Amino acid sequence: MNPLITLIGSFLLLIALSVPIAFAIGLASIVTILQLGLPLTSVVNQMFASINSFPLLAVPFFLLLGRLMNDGGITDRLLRFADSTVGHIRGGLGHINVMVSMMFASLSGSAAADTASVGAVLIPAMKKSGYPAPFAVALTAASSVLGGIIPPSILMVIYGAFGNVSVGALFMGGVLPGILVGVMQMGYVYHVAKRHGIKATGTFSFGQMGRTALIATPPMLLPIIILGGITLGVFTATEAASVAVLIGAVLAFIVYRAIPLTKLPSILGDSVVAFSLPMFAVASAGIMGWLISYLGIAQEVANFILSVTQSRIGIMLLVMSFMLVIGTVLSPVTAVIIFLPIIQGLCLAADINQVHMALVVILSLTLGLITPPYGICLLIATQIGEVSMPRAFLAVLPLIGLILLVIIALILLPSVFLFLPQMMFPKAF
Amino acid sequence: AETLRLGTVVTAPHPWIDAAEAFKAEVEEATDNRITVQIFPGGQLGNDQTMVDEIRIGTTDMIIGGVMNVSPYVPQFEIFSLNYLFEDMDEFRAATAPDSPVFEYFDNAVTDAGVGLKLLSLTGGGTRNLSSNQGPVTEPSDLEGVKMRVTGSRLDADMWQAYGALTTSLPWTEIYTGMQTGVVGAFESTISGYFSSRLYEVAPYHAKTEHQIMMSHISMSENRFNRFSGEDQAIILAAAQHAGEHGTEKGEEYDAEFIQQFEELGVTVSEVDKQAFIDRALPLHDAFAEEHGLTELLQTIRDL
Amino acid sequence: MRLINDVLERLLAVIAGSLFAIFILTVLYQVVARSFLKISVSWTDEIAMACFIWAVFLGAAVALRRRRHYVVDVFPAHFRLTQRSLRLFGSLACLPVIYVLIVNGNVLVDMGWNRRSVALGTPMAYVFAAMPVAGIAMLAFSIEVIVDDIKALRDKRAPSPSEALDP
Ligand code: NA
Ligand code: NA
Repeated sequence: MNPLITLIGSFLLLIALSVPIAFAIGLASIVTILQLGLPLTSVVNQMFASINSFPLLAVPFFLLLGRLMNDGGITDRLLRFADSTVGHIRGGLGHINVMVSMMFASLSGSAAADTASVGAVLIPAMKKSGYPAPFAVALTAASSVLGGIIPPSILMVIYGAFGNVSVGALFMGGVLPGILVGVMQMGYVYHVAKRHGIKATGTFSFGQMGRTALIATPPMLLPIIILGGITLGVFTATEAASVAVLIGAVLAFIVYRAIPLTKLPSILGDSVVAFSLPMFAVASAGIMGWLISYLGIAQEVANFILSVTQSRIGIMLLVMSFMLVIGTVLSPVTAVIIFLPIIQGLCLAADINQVHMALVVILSLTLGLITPPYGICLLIATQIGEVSMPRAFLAVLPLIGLILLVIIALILLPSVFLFLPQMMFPKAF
Repeated sequence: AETLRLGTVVTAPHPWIDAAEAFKAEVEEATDNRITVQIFPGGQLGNDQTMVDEIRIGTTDMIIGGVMNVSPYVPQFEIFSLNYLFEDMDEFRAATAPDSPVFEYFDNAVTDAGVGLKLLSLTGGGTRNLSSNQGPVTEPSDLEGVKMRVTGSRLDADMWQAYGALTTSLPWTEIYTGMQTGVVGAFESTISGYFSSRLYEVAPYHAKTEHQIMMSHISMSENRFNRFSGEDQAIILAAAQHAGEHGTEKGEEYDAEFIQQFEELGVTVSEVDKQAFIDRALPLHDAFAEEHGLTELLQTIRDL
Repeated sequence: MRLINDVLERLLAVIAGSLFAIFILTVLYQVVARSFLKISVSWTDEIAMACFIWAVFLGAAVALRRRRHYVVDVFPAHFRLTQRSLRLFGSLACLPVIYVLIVNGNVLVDMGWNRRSVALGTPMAYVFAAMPVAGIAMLAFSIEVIVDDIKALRDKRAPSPSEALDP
C-alpha cells in the first residue's frame, strides 16, 4: 500500500473512532513509519522539533492572561464598559469580538494567542448574553484568524523568507482581505443576533459610560502598554505577552484583590494543562509534516495539478483547495515550508505572480486554523467555550464560507487586491 | 539503486544548493546511478539540529549547512564563529582543502564526537556582513549602544559586545519584524541571507564588515558511509570535495552579484575601517582558544 | 492505583505550574535586562524554551487523566454502548504512542548527552527527558482510564464518572 494512503487513511479512521486527535496523528505516523521500516525514534525527535519554536511561547501567556482577567474581575470591568458603549447596538458583544481581534491582529502575528486571550473573556460573556455557545466559539476562532492576515504576520515573514517574496508587499496585500473578512463577519454577527432575538441591552448614557470607563481604565491601559511597547521596540510580541500577564496578575491579586494569592499555584497548574492540549497536538502534527516531506509527496501533487489544468485561475483554485485540505492537518508554517517549492514551480510554469499566489496560499492555510480536525484556533475556542467539536464545526461553517468568498475574490480580481502592494512595493512585481 | 537523502535548510539560489547539485551529478554519473542522491532543500526535513539527529537515527543520510549549527555536537566548530579568523579568501580556501591540517583536525573531531557523523568536506557559504537601520556603519564606534540581534551563542554575543553593541538573541525569522519595530537595530548575516530574506526592506544600511566567511560542511551518516565499498567511498569523498570547492566559488560569485543589486534596491553600502574591527576582535581569539583548549588549532589556522 | 495517581497528578500539576512560573519570570527578566538594565542576556530563551517543553509534556499527561485531549465525536451521545466502546478503543489507541514516548524517548535522551544547547552548553538530554518522563506518567494514568472504561462498558446503566465530568 502507498504510504500516503496508510498515513492519511489510518489518521482519518482513528479520528472517526474517537481516538484523541493528537494521539491519532501520532499513531497514524507510527503505523506509516513501521510500514516504511524506519526507526521510531524519529517520532519523538520530530515531536520535540515542532514545539521547539520561540513564537509558540506567546500562547501560554495569553491563555494565562485570559484566566487572570476572568477570575480577577478584569473582564467584568472591561465588559461593563464595552456594554455601556456599544451594548445598545444589536449584537454588540459579537462586534466587540471581531473589532478586538482586528486590533489584536495588528499587534501580533499569532492567531492562536488571539483566540486564547479574547476567547477567555468574550466567550463566557457572549454565552451569558444569550448567544448560542457554539456561535460564540466559532466567531471567536474565525475572527482571530485575522491575526495571520492583517500585518504583522509570522506566516508572511516565513513565506517571504523562504520563498524570496517581498515581506512588505505581502503585509500590504494582507490589509484589504483582512478588513474585508472583518467587516463581513460583523455583518454576519448582526444577522445572527437578529435571528436569535438578542436584545440590545439598555440605553446609552454618557454618565454610565463615564462611570464604567473609570472602573475599566487600569485594564484598558493593558493593550496600550502592549501596543506602545511593541511599536517603540521595547519588546517582541512574545515578551509583550509576558508583560501583559504581569500587569494582569498585579491587577487581579493586588489592586482588585479578586483572587487570593494562595490560589496562584492552582491557577498556574490549570493553565499548564490548558495550553498543553494545543501544543501537544502541534508536537504530533510535526511528525506527520516531516513524513509528508520525507515521502516526497509534494512533487506528485504538482504534477497532478498541472495535468488537470494549465490555466492561471484553475491552478490557483486547485492550490487553494489543496491548501484548505492540507491546512486541516498541518500547521500553516509547516505547510508553507513543505509546499513552497511546488507552489513556486507552478507559478513559473503558468506565469502567476508570486505575491498573488502567496496571498492565496496564506489565506487558505490560515483558514485551516478553524477547520476540524486540527484547526488550532477552533480547538482552543471549543476548550474555552466547553462546546463539542461537531457543534462548533456546524457553527463555524458559514464563517468559513465568508473567508472562502474573500479568497475567491482575491483569485479572480488581482488588480483590486494587488493595488496596494503594487503601489507601495513596485519592485516586488 | 541506493538513494542518499541529503537535506539543507536553504533554497536556491544558494551556494549550498549548488554544492548539493554538483555532488549529486558527480556521484550519480560515477556510479552509473547505482547510488542516487535526493536533495531536500528549504528545511523540509527540519533545521540543522533536527536533521543531524535524524541522521543519527538513520532516516536521513547527508546534510549541508553552516558549521555553527553542528557545534552543539562538535564544540570545536565554534572557533569559526570568531570574527576575522581568516585573513582573506585564499586562507579560507587553504583551510577547507581536503589535505589541509584544519580539515584533518575536524575530520577527526567529528568522528571523535561519537555522534555518528562523517565529515566529507568543508565548503563556503558566502561572506557575512553587518546591516542596520540606524545609519551607515564605518567603524566600531558606530555600534556603540546599538541593539543588535545575535544567535544564542555566547561567543557571538561577546564578539559584538566588544564593539559596544547591546546584543539580543532572536530567531532568524524574527529579524524582519524585530528591525521594523526597533526591538533590534542591527544584525549580521550572509550577503545572500540579507538579500533573499529581503531584510534590506527594514535595514537599508549594509556595511561591508566581511567579518566572517561562512564555514560550511558536507557530512554524512558514519554508518551509511562505512557500509559502502572502498571504491564507492572514494567516489563519494571525491564528489564531496569537488562539491565543496564549487560551493566556495559559487558563494563568492553570488556575493558579488547580490551586492551589485543593492544600490538599485535603495541600500546604502558602506566600506568600513576593517583594521579597527580586526583589532578589537583579535584579543577575543586568544581568550576563546585558551578557554576551550583550542590554542593549537588557532595557531594552525594562523599558520595557513 | 487511584490513590497513587491522585498524588502523581497533583505532583505533576505543581511541577508544571512551577515551570510555567519560571518561564514567565525568565521572559520578563529578558525584557527588563535589555530595555531597562541595558545588559545583554542570551540564556533566557533557552531556559524559557526548556520550561515550556517540560510543561507541555507534563501538562499533556495530566490532561490524559482528566480526559481533556481533543476528541471528534462522530456518533451521537445516546448510542451509549457505541460511545463507551469507542471510548475504550480511544484509550487503548493511546498506548502505542505512549510506548514510543517512553522507549524511543529514552533513546533520544541517550542521544541528547552528545548534543549541547547553544547558549548554556547543557546537554539536551535534560530537555528530551520530558518525553519519557511524561510517557511514564501517561502510562500510569492510561491504566486507570482503561480500567474505568471497561467498568463503564460492563455497567449498562449508570453513567461512568468520566462521562459525568465531560462537558
Ligand atoms: Na475574536
Ligand atoms: Na497580525
